[in-house]
Amino acid sequence: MSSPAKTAEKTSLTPADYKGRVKPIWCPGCGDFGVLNAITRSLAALGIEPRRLALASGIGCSSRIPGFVNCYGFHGAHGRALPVAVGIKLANPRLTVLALGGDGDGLSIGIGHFPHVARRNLDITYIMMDNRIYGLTKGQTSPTTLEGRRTKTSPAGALEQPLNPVELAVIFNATYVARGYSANLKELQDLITRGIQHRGFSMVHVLSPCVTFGKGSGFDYFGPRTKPLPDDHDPRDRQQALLRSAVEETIYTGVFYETERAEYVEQIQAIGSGVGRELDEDGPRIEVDRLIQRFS
Amino acid sequence: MNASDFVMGISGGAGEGVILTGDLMTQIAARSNLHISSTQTFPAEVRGGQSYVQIRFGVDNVFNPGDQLHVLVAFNNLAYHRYKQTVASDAILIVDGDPETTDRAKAFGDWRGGPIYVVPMTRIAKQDIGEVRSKNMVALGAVTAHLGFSEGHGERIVERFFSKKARKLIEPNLAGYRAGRAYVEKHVTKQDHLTIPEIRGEGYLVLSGNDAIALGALYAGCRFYGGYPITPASEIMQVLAEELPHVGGTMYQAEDEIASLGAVLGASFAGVRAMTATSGPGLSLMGELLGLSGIAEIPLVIVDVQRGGPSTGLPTKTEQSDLLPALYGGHGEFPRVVMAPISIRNCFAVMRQAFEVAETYQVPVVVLSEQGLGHRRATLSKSLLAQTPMARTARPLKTWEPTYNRYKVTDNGISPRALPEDPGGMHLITGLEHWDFGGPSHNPANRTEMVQKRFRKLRNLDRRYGGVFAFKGEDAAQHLHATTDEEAGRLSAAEESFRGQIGVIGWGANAGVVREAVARAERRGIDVSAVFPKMISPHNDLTIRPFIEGHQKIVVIEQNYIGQYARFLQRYYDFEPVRLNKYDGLPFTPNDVLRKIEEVASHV
Repeated sequence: MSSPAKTAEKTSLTPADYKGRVKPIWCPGCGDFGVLNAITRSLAALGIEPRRLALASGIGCSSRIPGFVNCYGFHGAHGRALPVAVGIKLANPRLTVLALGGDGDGLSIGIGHFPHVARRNLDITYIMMDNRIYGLTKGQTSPTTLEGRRTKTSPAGALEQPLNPVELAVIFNATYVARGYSANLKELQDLITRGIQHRGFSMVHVLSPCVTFGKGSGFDYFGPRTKPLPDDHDPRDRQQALLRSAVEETIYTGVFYETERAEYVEQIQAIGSGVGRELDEDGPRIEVDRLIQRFS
Repeated sequence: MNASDFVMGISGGAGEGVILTGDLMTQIAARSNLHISSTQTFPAEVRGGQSYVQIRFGVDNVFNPGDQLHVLVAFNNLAYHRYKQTVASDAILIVDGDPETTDRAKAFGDWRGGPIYVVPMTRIAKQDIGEVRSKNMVALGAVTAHLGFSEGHGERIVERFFSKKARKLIEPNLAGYRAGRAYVEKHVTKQDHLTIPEIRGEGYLVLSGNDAIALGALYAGCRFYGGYPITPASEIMQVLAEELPHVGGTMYQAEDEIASLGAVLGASFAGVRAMTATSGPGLSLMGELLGLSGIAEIPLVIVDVQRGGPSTGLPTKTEQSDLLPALYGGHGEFPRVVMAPISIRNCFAVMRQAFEVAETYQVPVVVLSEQGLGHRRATLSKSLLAQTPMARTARPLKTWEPTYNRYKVTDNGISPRALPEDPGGMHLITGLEHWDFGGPSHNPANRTEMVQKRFRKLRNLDRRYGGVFAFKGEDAAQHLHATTDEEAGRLSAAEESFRGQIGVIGWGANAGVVREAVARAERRGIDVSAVFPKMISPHNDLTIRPFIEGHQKIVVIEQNYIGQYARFLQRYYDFEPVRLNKYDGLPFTPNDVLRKIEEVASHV
């Protein structure tokens, strides 16, 4: 399901071309470094020019990422990465648009947007960096914190069932759903690349441990539990994707689900919308006579 | 009663098609080259309760739906009883009933008006048409025939409306309309002199305030609308849903108001003129992102069609209680602009200014409309659409130097704005305080400089876009503004409306009733004039100060309890205005304002 338009503009870009003007402020060893690396490698491999790249994020450690990338970056409000990404893509469909944020941003305050963007199948890639904790605010329970885990706001252990973003994305009818691990750079780069190439809404869930507040869900936790999806996994099989996303003892990585469905911009362009930012004066004009007819 | 300026009320049970009858009536009048101003009230529920439309007809422009009724069209007895008190002494009543069996003395013994015409609307619809739901079309036919409107206009209007719904609805409704006309022509002896004059012309547009906002946005180059349905603003979204695709633009119905505004900010960031429209509850939800627009300097236009608040309040009723949230809502401090259109025509024009200001100054602009304006209808010249030039917002790619900084500190506070796809313009915008290049910064000196830079953008903005609309006597509204202190001095020395006994200050849609009340008061010998600000904030001292200082007594009229604009003005001037406030959900009438002016005049 890769689109020729996206691979055609390949030039000789390297990951260094995507270095942003802001220096990462993450703690040394943070899982998000791996994600940043994987993203810039994917972009370079796909040859997406920085000027045609827009990154929209929410608030949180991982949401700082647009500043670290040479692109048109929008570091907005907590939980609102997806709505902003939608607006950018609809206003200029020529852009490659990534939405980025953490588990708190996307599954707590911003979860209301997730199903709706997924069901619209708008061609953006949502990368959710999941450390199972609120890191920027120094260690409170997040919506993916495991039950029973002690945090600053769950001193007796978390009482809630954690949410599973891969399972949710499949249920919300996202057309590309993958999970990667920030310590497995090669696989993650591949998953992100395929996600960007996918025509429609793609969601990449990344296990990205917090080395400072992530006790109990650090690299030592994920390392032994993370395994690629079995060879027999068929990404077109929605039931299988749901089953394997919910396995507890092993945390699978890879493409869980991929399907083809009409993409949102293509649909609105069919009725005339989605021209986006006009670059010359020859765009569509107001049909004055029809308007006068309509309103008289 | 005067056929060149008269008021009609149409009332019936909700679900009887009263609102539709009124809509079609206004369109027929517009085709007959009559001006109209109409308003409607309906219960929040789709059915149940009574619906009401009031239409004022004028050979000259009319600016409000008027007070006393000259024609009452009652679809049932309840409708009669509800509105019988509000009629002029020579008013005519057109009421549904059996003309043979109705005991007029008994049924309408308390009627204070003139001739009564009992028309068997329900019977014609049931027996002749075989479709009781066509009763409202029977009424439309009867009323238009009685007042002398040509049959053809109505036929075309009825046919056009129902052809958009379903073809099979055209016939029974046209038949109803024709039967209503035929009945009146055959069986009713006219006992009044209310016959509309024949006027030549090309007809008028009929626009609601919400239509005018949507069309104004379209002509202002708006090409992205993100919104969430809410009464009484949804019509803006609905018009744009149909119209934006014709010009390549996009209407996006988001999952909530926060997502709406998020998408609007994304679209604006990407270089497209973008807006949302909402009402009070939506504005509350948008507070955080309003501030993001302010600190990240992303152009934004939000229309708030105000309704009774707080919370769910009075969703279908009018109020002006969101001024303070528009001025100060959201946390932190950031520059913003607040405008309030004073008429339906001004709704169209204000959108152009809103988009221009938002884009030039890279600030959020809040446009405060209100239910009483959004759902009101008026006739406007077709030249509004035929001759207003469309703003073209296309801009070719621009290449930026490697030293490009998105938030460059400049004398006027405005920084050059690169747009996605521009070579070399890549940058970060962020809701964190930032350095000039966009990177986050906590540096105290930088913070101070950035806050000042952002607020510097507002400097002199009121002189360029502000001023007042002034009303004095029968004169047409005047737009008074001054760009320099010298100009302001000359203006206030020369301007008649800037001095006198009583000065009325209002904002928003009340201009329509105030201008009439001021004219009526002057006919009664009271020295009074009125002004409405073109832009509420930044405040235009150059025109408001001489008005306040030039009058012995100032009346501030607004539709809220605490006097939000009066308090705002008291920040600038040491004065005690007389306040005329109302918060019952219903719009002011010219009489409400006239009574207050007379009361104040008797004490000055």
